Amino acid sequence: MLAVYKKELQSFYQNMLGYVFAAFLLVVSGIMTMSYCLGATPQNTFEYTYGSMPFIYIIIIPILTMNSIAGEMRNKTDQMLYTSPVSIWKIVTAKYLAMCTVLLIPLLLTLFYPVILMRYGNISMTTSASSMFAFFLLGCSLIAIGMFISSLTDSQILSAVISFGVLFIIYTASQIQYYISRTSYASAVFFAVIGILIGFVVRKLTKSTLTGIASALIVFGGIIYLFLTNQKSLEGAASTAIGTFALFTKIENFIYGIFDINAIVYFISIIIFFNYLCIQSIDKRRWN
Amino acid sequence: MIEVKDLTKIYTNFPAVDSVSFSVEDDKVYGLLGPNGAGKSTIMNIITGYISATSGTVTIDGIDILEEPEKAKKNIGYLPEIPPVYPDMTPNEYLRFAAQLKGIKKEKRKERLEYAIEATGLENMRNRLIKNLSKGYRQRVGLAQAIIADPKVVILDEPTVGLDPIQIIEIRDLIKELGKNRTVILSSHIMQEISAVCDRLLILSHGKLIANDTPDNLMRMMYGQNSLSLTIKGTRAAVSSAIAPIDGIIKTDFLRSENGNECKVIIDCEPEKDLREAIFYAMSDAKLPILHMSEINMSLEDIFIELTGNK
Repeated sequence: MLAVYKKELQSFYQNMLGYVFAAFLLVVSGIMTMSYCLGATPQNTFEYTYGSMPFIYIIIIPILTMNSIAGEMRNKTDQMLYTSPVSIWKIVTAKYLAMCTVLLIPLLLTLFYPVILMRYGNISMTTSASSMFAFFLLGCSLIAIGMFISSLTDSQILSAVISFGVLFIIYTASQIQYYISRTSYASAVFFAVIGILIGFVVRKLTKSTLTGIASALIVFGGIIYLFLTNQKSLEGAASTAIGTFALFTKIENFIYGIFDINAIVYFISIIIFFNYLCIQSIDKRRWN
Repeated sequence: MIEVKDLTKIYTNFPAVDSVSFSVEDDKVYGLLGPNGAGKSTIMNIITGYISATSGTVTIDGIDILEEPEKAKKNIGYLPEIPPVYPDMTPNEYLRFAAQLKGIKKEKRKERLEYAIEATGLENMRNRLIKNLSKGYRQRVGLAQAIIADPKVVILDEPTVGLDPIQIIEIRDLIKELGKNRTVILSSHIMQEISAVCDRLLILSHGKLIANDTPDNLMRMMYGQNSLSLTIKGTRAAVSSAIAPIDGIIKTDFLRSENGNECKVIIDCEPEKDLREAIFYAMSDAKLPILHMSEINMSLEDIFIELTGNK
């Protein structure tokens, strides 16, 4: 496991991606710090820097993760990894942790900013650090999603484009949810569409049309049952469902100085869930 | 060492491997032979645990590859068809990574690394980036990776593809050397390679195992008799009546000849009988000049074509 972790980390810094990634993050955080804390009306709220930065994840996370699994498949180096006496979950976890480390290194450097700023004003180090932590956890969750997407294809470009699209939807989810009609009909239609999508994904994974249709029908059955028995529960359900995917808003509490345990549990669940999906998707490929 | 039972792999209704069973003994070199698409790589990928079989089992040293994959994989070194190398690494870095990945103890890593580099002749290339190496050297780096952990079984998928003739001989020698104290399975569609190094041949066609024997036995089984090929000036009738009295001929086949007053003939003789002289004198007595005479040695190539073509 350590071998894969070291190799991944080494390759990030060998092909410059790690440095470019760090430079980009530091430049953006530098600009944000300047505009919040050193601008025309200087404020002592360094944590806002992190609050204003998540948008860069939409660009940098897909670039960081696109190569992770897809690159191995394309290179055929996965044959070496999966025939070595190391289980897949260890390989995936090692790769995942290496990417998180590449993110963590520049983020730790940004913690020097409040230390410097402290000389000139009253900066809360704990809020800054906990905001950085939340920002990092958000990044880790998005890396898990990006890595899972990378395991679905052997084309890095496709992986990057899909990740970009998914992250963009997640980023805008908190806005989108207010545009969804709150009626139970709208929710039923929304979940029916989700059901069809699930059907397609299941069909793709199992290569069995029957299983695909069956899983879509199960979702339909659930919706019809709810619609007939407890129509009220469907009211606003669609927009709530979309709201759950609004990962980016979960760090807001930290920025306002609240250490939000719920958000941490939420991020960790996302991380574990997508790591698990990634392992399953690799295993599935080998079983087909 | 390796037991393969009723192995079947079906890719969307098309059986790539069709209930193949064989067992592999210790310290021998096995050749997996078959035309493209016969299922060689698929079988190797299943034995090494890279992909799973649709049905059937593979055990390595008594350990099932599906039930205890990590334990079973410890015994295997695998060089896939395309060497699994990272282009941005040097052979040195790559092999150090491989040694660590395969769980070689820290104090032994350096020694094994030096062994692998020396055995595959990578000394002069060890610090170049793999992406700048030729196909042959990449192949060697892949091979070095397969043997670095000193596994009991080494599985090589077409190990000499892309190598020049001198490199082929070197790799062949290395395979022979490896086969002395461990089991080697290699696949190929090149006969020479197989007959030069293998103790036993497994011939595959369309996913089925159609022969499993030593190269010698295969040759003997298929073509016990020795045959002669002749071109004789004269008519078929004259030639056949001149040949008729000779003892020890099993069969005479006339081939189509483009030249009217010549005939081409294949004579199957009884085993271990040299009839060349007898035929010469018979033809000379009948005033039928022999324009050409040669022995036909059935090569593994012929056996291979015969076996895979007929099925």
